Amino acid sequence: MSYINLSSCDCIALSAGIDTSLIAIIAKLSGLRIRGLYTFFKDGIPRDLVYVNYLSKVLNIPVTFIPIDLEYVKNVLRDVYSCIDGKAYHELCIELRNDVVFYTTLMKAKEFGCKCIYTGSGGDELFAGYSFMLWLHENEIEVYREKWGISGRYPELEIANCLDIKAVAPYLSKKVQEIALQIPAKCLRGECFEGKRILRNIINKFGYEFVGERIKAPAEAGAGTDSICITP
Amino acid sequence: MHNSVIPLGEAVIRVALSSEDKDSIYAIMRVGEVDLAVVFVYEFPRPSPHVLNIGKTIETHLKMGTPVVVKALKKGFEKIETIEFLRRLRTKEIVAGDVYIEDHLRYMEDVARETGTRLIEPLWSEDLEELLYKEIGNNIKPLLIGTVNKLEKWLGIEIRRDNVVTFAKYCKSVGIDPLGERGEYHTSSHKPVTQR
Repeated sequence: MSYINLSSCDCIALSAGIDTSLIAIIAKLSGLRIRGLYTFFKDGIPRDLVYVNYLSKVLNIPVTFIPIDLEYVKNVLRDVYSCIDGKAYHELCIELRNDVVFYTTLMKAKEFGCKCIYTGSGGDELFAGYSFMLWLHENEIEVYREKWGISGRYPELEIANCLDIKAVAPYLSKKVQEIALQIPAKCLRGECFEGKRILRNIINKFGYEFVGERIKAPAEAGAGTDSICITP
Repeated sequence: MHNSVIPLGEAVIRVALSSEDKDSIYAIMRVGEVDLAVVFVYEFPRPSPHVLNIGKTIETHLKMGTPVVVKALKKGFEKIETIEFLRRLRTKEIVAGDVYIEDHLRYMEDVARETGTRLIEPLWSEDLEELLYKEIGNNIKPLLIGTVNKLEKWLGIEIRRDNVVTFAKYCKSVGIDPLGERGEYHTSSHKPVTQR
């Protein structure tokens, strides 16, 4: 909370997943006036849309919905690729269909003149959000969290640098990392094998179970770009 | 007319047709228990709110202790595929949440006849506004996930005890049935969560 207060961003890349929902809730509790930005593929099935709408209403956060289509994706793909400097971590098209969403959100944030923009980067790594982590042995989760939660690669932050807009990732702050790594892996996994249990509980405590209990949607599913796979 | 009691111990496969909207959830609550919830996904030119919300739909049913399956139906073959699917599940009873649209009821009666199942429509003929109040009174918290333009300002809002009267009044003022039975709005009706 203190980190969010200190950074006082006026914008958030809002997917209404667990990570960004909690940031948005804390920002509102801190009295920050923030604006949400949500990019979605209008010819896909953007699973985050319903949740973004909900959070916008209950937290009274104005959200700009940014629809994109295939033509647009084709047009910006080369720029996106040059921003990440060819450092594709996953299969290229899988990375790019995620990156194009952040690229668009960050471009728009820049256009709006956002002082800085919150992202949920690091939440999955530190709090066991990825589905493959849910089946790992607890020791393996600890190793993964330490390795990737501290020194992971976050393309959205690379893109922000490339576009010269300040992105703030509260989960990657030193203090949050330190606290997160003290939480035993068993506390991160719920009884239905859902990740980020501890963050979910915090969200639920504020009364927002609709997002607090939502099923994990990978970023590309949330934005609806999972139906496309193109490379420059 | 359609609600009747099944003797305990009798082996039945009671299937609820559900989209996790407030009416289908309340229909499940009314009949007590169902063995399986089936979510049929229809083809539309644009994704329906219920397709966008499929994750929450699965989650809600599982939290109610009801296994759930999702079946996509091909355009033009919806009825035949529904019948085939229910037959494959060896369905004995179908629970649906229709309230007053005769065409829907007739469709369901056809499906029941073709599959040799018994149709249970526990909400049929209820007073629309009263039914909405009963649903909210039973802790269903419908969240509007899709609306017609006239209801746009309610999009993303949860209907609760403290705003249900305002909502019903608003619906009537713009000429919309407060229950939204004709698809004027779609809801996600996640149940209250037990804190873990």
